[in-house]
Amino acid sequence: MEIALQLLINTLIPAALFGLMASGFSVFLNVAKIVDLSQGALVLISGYSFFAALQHGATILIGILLSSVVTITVALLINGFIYERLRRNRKLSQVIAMIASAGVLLLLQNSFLAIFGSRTKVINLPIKNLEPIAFGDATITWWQIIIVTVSALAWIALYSFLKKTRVGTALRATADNAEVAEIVGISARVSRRNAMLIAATVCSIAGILASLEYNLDPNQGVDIAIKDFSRAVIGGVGSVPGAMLGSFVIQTAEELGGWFWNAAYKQVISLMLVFIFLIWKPTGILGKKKI
Amino acid sequence: MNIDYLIYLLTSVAIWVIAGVSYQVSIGFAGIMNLGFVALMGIGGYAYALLIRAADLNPSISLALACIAPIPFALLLSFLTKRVRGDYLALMTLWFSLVITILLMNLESITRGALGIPGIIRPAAISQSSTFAFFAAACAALLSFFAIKLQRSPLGTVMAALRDDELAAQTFGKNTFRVKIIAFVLSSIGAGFSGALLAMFLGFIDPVSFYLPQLIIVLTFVIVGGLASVPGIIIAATGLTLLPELLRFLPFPTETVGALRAIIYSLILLIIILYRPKGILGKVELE
Repeated sequence: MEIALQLLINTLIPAALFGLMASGFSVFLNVAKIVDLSQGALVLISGYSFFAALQHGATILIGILLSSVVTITVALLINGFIYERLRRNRKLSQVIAMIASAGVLLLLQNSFLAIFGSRTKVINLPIKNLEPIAFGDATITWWQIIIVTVSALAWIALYSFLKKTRVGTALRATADNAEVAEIVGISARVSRRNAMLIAATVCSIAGILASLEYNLDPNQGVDIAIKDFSRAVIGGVGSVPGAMLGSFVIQTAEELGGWFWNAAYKQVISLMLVFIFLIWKPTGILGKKKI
Repeated sequence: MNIDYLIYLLTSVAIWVIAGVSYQVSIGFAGIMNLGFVALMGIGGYAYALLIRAADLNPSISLALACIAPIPFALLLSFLTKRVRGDYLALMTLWFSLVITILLMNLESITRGALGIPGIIRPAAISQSSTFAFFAAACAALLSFFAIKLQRSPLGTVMAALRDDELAAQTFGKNTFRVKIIAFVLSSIGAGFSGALLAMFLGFIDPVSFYLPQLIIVLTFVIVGGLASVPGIIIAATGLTLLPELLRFLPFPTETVGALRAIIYSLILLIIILYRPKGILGKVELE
């Protein structure tokens, strides 16, 4: 029973956190039709700038503000100077955009390696030292409770923003059919920029949460990009609830597989699962369209 | 500048030219958006190293088998991607690449996982570093010659047609699927060979030797050199292999040199994609 509870906790935390990241990834994928692998690095930018700010004596609040400003600025630069440029005077090639995003990912990831070194950086906040809550043998830390709560709140905010506001409606219109949306006066260019803004905000929130739970290591960029893509594809391409659902499906499969089979095979399980989906059900569980 | 360093440079350039030209056969000649190329290289490299280490095979036989090892995977990928093209094929082959790396990483009983395989030996005839360099250079020259021959042959023409307009090629009664398989398999043989050469050259391989960063490197070669251009890829592979060597003469720690090398490649890749999508000598644009 306690094992089941601990497995549940172990599933819940990464599922919520990476589900949030995958939702932001999914919004940009759906609106701009770009598999933006560079978001793996955006998450790291947020974490590293939070780390650097705290190192230089900033308070937590200023650290959070600073890291979101940096993350969003870089994201808008990537969108404006690379992705929008790739569309200039020609139809966007999705493969080229994906390759370019992989280039940005490696560029940023190696910049962190050059600046901060390959050693894992640990951020120490007082909250990490609080006594964990125990249910028998199963434990959850206060920071993990914060991760789940903040991820859930941010995700709900993202979902209602897309459903309830004018900007959100415009985003969904561009995602469905950019040309028709242009006819009724919704600029696809503005929608793509807004989608990047949303994705970057998500990355900056998730980046700070992740940097405390999993520490900071430059090589995490590629891993996060892979996680984003897996979760967005399995749940349903272009669907925000789908991305969260996909995250829970993958995380459950990983934890169960890790428990009953071998913990080393966690990633094998999820990658295989995505490969199978790509072959037989490319629309994902909830999605209606392909990538 | 001593002679050993020059031999080292020659070998490294030759191996990357072999890899680049082989990659060009699938991505350039036939327009197959194959992002699984480095995984096929990895299969070749691991096949070579493991056949010697575990099966105690003669290195020459093992080199021959390393060229064949990626073929089943190339066939599997061709059949899985039979009805998809472009974007989707790129994603599936990329994913294939990730699955292979993770498997190499986690099948520890066979591949030693992240520890990698050290002490990889060469066949006796090319065990000296100078003979190895000449062997690699000769192979690179021969391969480039045959690649140009292939491109000008009727088969190469059909590949080009398939790349430029698959429907039109089918309309003219060409069996495009068969041609695609041929291009994919030929490319995978080259991948296996270059992977095995790389394993011999470095003497050590681990799963991360064939991961996303290496994929970006070979992709940069193709994109800089120009799609479907053999001279282009030779120039690009040579120039881009030598360029980061300059970093060696600057006072950076080894770790930073590795990062700077990757930064240089990704910057060049982005600049070419944005400002000169056809590359130096390419005639067609990557789509």
